Amino acid sequence: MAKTNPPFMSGVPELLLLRLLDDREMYGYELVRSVREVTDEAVSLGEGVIYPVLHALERDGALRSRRKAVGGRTRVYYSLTTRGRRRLKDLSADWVRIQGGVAAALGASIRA
Amino acid sequence: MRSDTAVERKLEAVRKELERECIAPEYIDRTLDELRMHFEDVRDELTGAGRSPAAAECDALARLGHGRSVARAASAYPTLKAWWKRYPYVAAFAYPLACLAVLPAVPVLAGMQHALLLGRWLLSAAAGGLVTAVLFLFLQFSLTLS
Repeated sequence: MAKTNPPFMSGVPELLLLRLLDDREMYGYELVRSVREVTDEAVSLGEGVIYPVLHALERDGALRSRRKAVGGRTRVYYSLTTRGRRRLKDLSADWVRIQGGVAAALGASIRA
Repeated sequence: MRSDTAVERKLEAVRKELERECIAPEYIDRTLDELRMHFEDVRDELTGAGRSPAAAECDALARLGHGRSVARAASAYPTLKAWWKRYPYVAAFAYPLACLAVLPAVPVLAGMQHALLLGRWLLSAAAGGLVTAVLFLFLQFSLTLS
């Protein structure tokens, strides 16, 4: 049975998707597989759940999408926009700051 | 055939959950479309890895997740909701008022659309009125002269 993500994970899928799409354009299934790979399966996104996140990011102008026929199958590829890159930068900075704070707090509680 | 029905049933369940969360129809359609493609990708990958087609389809369906989770994820983004959910005051007040304002123009617009029919009807009514008037005049004269 796959381990589910804790509730404080909200916002993490967005950050991961933006980070992966910063490298190259990808479609939904490819993104799910990539998240699993790059996080060493520590983060498992609900496979159907990824699409509302992608649509919301596109709606906000962080992503753009295009339909592409590959091997007789049509796929929707997502890529990062300039606004998306800015958002990735901001979210990454937030994440590093929070992660540092939590790590410091955990370290302090272990030492105490 | 069986799997097609199963995936359609699953997608229909997802549609109902998304509708319950008042997600905009265009996003519901897009989500279902991409979930269908996702299902096909997972099924093909599992079949390629040696799973039986039936087991692969079953697992691919399970991996799409519950319709409830997809709807909850979509619901977390207000921008994906239908306009009347995003702007409830507009939907509750401005929209009915706009409809009321447009209401008097509806017969005119409908009339323009059926101008020929209306013209013929008016012509028939006028002709009928004329014949009736002539008949009444004739009766009046008959009474007067008798």
